[in-house]
Amino acid sequence: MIGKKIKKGDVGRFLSSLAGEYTVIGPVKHGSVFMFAEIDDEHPPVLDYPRTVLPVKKYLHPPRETMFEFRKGEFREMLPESRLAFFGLHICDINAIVRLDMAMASDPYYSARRGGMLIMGVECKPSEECFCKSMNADRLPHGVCDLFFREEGDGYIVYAGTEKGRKLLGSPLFHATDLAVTGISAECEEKKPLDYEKVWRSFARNHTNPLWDEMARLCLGCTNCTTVCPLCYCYDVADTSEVVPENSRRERFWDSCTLLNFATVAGGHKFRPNIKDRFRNIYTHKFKSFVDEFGLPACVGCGRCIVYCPAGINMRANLEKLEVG
Amino acid sequence: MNIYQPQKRTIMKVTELNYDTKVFRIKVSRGFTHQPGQFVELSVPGIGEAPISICSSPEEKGYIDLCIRRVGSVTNAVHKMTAGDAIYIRGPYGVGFPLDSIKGKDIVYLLGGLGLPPVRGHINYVLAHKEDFGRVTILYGARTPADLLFKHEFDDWKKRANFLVTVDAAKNPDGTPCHWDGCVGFGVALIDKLTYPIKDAVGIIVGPPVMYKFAIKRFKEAGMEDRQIYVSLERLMKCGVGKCQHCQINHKYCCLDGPVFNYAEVKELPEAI
Repeated sequence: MIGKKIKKGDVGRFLSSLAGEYTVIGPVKHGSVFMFAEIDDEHPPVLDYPRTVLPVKKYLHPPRETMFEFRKGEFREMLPESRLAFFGLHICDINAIVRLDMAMASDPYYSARRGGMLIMGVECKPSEECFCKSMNADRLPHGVCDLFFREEGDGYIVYAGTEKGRKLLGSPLFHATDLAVTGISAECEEKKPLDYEKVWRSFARNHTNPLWDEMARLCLGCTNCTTVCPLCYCYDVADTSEVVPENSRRERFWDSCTLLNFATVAGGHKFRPNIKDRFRNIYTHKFKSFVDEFGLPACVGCGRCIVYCPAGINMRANLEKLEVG
Repeated sequence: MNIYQPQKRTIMKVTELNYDTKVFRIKVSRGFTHQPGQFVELSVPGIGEAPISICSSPEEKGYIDLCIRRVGSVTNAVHKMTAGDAIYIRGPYGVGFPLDSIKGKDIVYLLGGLGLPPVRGHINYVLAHKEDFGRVTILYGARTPADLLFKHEFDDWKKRANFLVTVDAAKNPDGTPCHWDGCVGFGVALIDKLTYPIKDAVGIIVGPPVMYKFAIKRFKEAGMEDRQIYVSLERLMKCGVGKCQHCQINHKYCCLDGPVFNYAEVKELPEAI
C-alpha cells in the first residue's frame, strides 16, 4: 500500500473540504477529558489523545433516538439522515465499528447512519489500560478504514483502505511519496496478551467459580462500563405520549444489563437478582456468547471500562483470572 | 421493510376469561401462519410494546387469539379496548412447539397459570387430529379457581383428553375462602394421578419460572429422557429479533432460539431453568 503525504497545516483544510458533504466528527478536548464532537476551526481535533470518554457508538447507536412517530393511525418510521465523517479514530475504535456492524446488521436505524459514513483513523498513543492485542483488535481491519493517518515529520503519511479513500487522496493537498506499508497495527504495550479463545473456553467451566463472587464484590452496578463501552449495544424501548396518543413517539435508549430490571419480566420475576449474576452476564455476553454468535469478543480492549469504573474494577485483570480459573 | 414496524390490525372480538384476563381476537390476513408457542409484539401507541403468545390453533385462519392478563402498562391499556379498535402487531417470532415431529406419540402437558395460553393452540390442534397422536394428558394448575383460564373449553378437553385440574388454594383472589370441589395442590403433583406410564411420552412444560425445576424432575422420575421434554421459557422479549439483549440466556435468545426449547438443549445452559 502506497501512502501520500499531507502537511500538518493542511489537515484542517482537508477536513473543511469534507464539511460540505459530511458532518465531521473528531476527538476534541473538553476540560480534562477528550470526547468525540463536531470539529471546526474553533474546535480543532486533538490527535494526541489516549481515548475519548464515549466511543463512536454514541453516533451510530445514539443514547436516545426516535424509531417511530405515531401519526394518523400509523407508526411512521423515522430513519435518520446523516452523513458522518469520523477523523482521528484509533484502531481499537475502528475494530469496534466492525464488530458493532455484525450485531446491528439488519437494524435500519444503525444501517442508515453507517451507510454513508467516512472513517479516518490515526495512530494511537497506547496507555497502560489498553489491551487491544488480547482482543484481536490491534490491527487495522481490511477494507473498512477509508483513510489512515500516520505521523511522519512535519506531516502525516495517509493510506487509503477503500475506494472512497483513494478518491479522497486525489485532493491536491496530498503529495506523492514512496513510503509503502503492509498492514497497520497499534503499538499496544501488552507484554503477555490474553488468548480470547482460551477465555471463551473458560466459560464452560467457570459459571460456578467463586471467582465471580470475588470479582463482583466491588461492582456497584452503576452502568459506567456499559455506557462507555464501544460494544455494549443493549437498548430499551418506550413510547412517549404528548397527552393525546395521536402524538406519540416510540423511542429507544441505551439500557444496561447491570441494572436489576434488565431481566425482570411482567409480574416481577427477576432472572438475575444479584449483582453477581449481572456482573457475570456482562462478561458472559462479551467473551462467550458474542464469540459464539460472531466469532470475536464484544470487546476491543480500548480500556474505557477500566478508566471509568468508579470502583477500580479492571476487566483485563479479571479476564486473566478467568482464563486460568 | 423496517424490522420493528408494527402493522395496523383490528380487534374482532374480546372475550373475558376471568377478573384479570381477556382473549383478544385480532384480524390477520389468511396468509398469516404461525406455530403454536410463537409470539407477536403487540403495540398500543403512546403506551408501548409487549410480547404476547398466540393462543389460537394454526388451523384457525384469518385471525389470531391473544390471551392477555392485566399486569403492566401495555396489557392494562389493551384491556380497555373493544371490538373494532385498532391494534398494532409485528411477528410472529420465535420457535414454537413441535407438531409433525411428535406425531404418533403420547403427549403430557404440564401447565401452570398463564402457561396455558401459549400451549392452547397446540392442544386444540392435537385434539382436532387425535388420530395422529397417542394419548393426550393435560395437567393444569392455577392459583385459585378464579384464575383458571379457558374454563368454557374444559368439558371438551375432558371428553377428548385426560384432563386434570388443580388449584393452589380454594380461595378467592383476595384470599377469602371459596367453594371448590376439585383438586387442591400444586400442578406438578398431578403427575401422581396418572394411571398409565408416561416414559415414552412427549412432555410439554409451561408455567411460572419457579415451576420448571420441579416439573422436569418429576417427568424424569417418570422415565422421560431429556430430549422428550419441551419447555417454553419466559423472558423479557423487547425487540423480538435478537438485538436488544433483554431475553438473552447466555448464548441463546429466547426470541430467536426459543421461547420453546427442547430441554436437552438448555439443561446445561446456565440461568435457563
